[in-house]
Amino acid sequence: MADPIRLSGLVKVYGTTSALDGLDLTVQAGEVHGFLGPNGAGKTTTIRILLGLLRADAGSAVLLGGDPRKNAVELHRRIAYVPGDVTLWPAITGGEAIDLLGRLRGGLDARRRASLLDRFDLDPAKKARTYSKGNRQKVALVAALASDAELLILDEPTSGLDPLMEAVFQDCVRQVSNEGRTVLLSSHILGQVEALCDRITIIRRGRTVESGTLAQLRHLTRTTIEIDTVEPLVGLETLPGVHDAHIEGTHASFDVDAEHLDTAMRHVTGFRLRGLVSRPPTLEQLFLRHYDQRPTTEGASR
Amino acid sequence: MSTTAPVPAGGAVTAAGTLARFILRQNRLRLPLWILLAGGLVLGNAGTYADLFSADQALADRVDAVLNNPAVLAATGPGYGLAEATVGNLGPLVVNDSSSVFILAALMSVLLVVRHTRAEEESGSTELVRAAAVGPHAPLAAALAVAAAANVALGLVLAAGLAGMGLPVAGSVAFGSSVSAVGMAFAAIAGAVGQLIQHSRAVTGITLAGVLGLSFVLRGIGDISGSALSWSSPIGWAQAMRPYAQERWWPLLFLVALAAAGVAAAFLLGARRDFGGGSLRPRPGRALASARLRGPFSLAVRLQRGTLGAWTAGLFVLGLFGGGMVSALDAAQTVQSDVYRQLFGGGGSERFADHVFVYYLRLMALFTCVCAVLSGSRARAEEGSGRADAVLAAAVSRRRWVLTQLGVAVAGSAVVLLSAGLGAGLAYGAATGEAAQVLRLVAGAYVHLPAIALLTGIAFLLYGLAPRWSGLVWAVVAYAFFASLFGRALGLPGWLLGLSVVELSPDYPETTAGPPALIVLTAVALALTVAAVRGFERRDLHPDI
Repeated sequence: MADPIRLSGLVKVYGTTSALDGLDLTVQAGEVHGFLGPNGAGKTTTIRILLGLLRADAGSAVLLGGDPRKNAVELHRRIAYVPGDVTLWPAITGGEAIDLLGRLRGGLDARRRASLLDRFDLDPAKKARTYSKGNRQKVALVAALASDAELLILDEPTSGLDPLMEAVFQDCVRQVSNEGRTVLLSSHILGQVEALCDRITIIRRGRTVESGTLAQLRHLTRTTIEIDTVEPLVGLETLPGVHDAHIEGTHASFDVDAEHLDTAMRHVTGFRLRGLVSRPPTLEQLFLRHYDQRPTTEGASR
Repeated sequence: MSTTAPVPAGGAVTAAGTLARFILRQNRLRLPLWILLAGGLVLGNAGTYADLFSADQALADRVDAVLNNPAVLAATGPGYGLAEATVGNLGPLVVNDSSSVFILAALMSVLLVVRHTRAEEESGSTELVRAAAVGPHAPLAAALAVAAAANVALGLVLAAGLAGMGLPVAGSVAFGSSVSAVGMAFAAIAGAVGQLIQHSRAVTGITLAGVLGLSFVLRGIGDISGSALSWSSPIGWAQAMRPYAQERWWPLLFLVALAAAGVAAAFLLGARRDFGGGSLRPRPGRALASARLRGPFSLAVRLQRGTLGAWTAGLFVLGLFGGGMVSALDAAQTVQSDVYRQLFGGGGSERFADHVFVYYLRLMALFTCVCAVLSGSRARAEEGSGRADAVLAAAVSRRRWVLTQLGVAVAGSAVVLLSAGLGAGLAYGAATGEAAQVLRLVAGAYVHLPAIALLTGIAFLLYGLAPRWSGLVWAVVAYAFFASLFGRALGLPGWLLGLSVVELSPDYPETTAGPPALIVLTAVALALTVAAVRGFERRDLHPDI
């Protein structure tokens, strides 16, 4: 089965600033694909090109085997979209907006609609102007999730939701994924991406910097290790691939690049290892490393 | 200016001074431009009059043309002191020809007050402001204070400019203060209406179409018929001050009282409502959409039906007024038949009524132009807010979407025109007992539809090619108002008059010539539409335009 999304060398320039600078993105059929990047990296621009709302200045974009601009109408019957900042028609109720968006796409499943409204705890009889940001987002989510679109494009879909609703959202995405449908999930919430995504693509300043499964990306990064030994540790900090080593006599903590893990382990066993804790790299560390930022305690939201 | 002085802390208007300065800063270009435009219009005219009417005969001809033509009287004013105007004192003529300045002052004030009260409340920026140490009434007080300052500035420019041209000081001050007072009265009315209604667009529409439009029409009918109807209109009060013709100052009190009542009502109503709320409680809506709401067209109709309904009702009422007015004039005409026969040819009452209807239906078409452009501007609002994205991300093509927006603007205008012609036809037909008048006057209104489609085409061409500049279409509308309302009174040459879109329509029912013009207009409108759709299909969609 062909890849639902295949973007290569995408360029988009606004005046003198370039929003996309040779971006590549491939989403395989049936996967949940995490699309990560800081604000202004080009995630929304990419999605707007996929939707045919913007024209790329260079590069190629293939959506569900078609041209996002030329075949927009046919393609849009097969996709559902949730923007990050949902604006609705103020005088129209949430329920009406859900039905309208569903009908514009070609219909939605009434039973699923009812169950989603229930799970997201959304009152559909209220005019959209009375909704909070989170509730407006729920409207777009219910409309998208109640469709039977084969591809869901979600642009930071839960930025206004509380943790309870976040859990409901993750359940729903898993269900969609179990049905064999494809999801492109642009996100800032690393826990969400770690929990849901089969593969991820990290972009920065309009370019793809990393793409692969979480396991593949972890392979490229550092494992954090804490050890206790019988004999005092020496020479650890000078080993290749070892970073941030803190050694206090027989206790040490350090990060080590994946390709040097073996060497480091052989070295420390020479001091008669008594205890070892190893932590795989979190997506957060991975993410921060690509933005030249050191992990900090407040880095979680970046 | 006392209004920007610091206000003691703890009051309902705490920080109004700071907010007023902020409003001034946001409007540091807009307000001077408005004042320049409104003042320049009057002073520019006045400047040319000394040359134009340096001979007694030229002045006498001009005065005759104003006093004996109800269409001119309807557009300008009652013509106080015109008969006594001399080459040495052209003041009465200048003032009578400057009735548009009342509309401009009111427009400036209404748009300013709505922009900085209800519109900011609706967009949410007032919420941030109100969360600071700011009195609950401060935003309203600040907007009204700036509106007052702007109107005083406009009045001063007018008074000083006219006096500087050698016109009597008392008359100049009377005229300047009448304009200031009308502007301030409409600022206060907009402030009060803004407390009742939640949506800024509706506030602007009701204040401009309902109050300002009606005020202008009422005084027009009053001035033609010489009746007391002029006294039902704030603009009538202003003109009743008779600048340069034995000024009367007491009508100014009426205007000041109206402004004060409006301000008081605004603060009283404001104290009784919740932030963001109006006097109407929101009702729960439908949990499920009706089967009719299923495409971009039904969505656009749903979004605009309230506004279009209000326009339809408003123009129906104005149409009724017009039909009634002409039948009243028909009766009066028998008395002065010689004058009218001379002016409108030998065709008798039929020809005269048709002549006035051509003028009146053109006025209705001008209002419909505003309706069409406002309706068309929804496209840009939908795009800028991101709501167009939601529709275009579904199975809706660009072409279908933009044609829908354009179609609703034109179809809505057709309904509005129909109601205007129907109103005029029903009133006139009932008065004359001729049922056929209904059809004639509906046709008289509908001859303007191609021109309005053309205007809509211009609006969408701008939107399709350069959405950031789509507001330029208002210049076309403003010019049409200026040329069609005042062009004849000011003696504009025919080709300048013809640049007003509604002047391109045939003069039906006065003449039956015109089908070629209608075909050409329709063809141009279609060509513009095709170009607009092409442009929109090719360009990027912009959020935040």
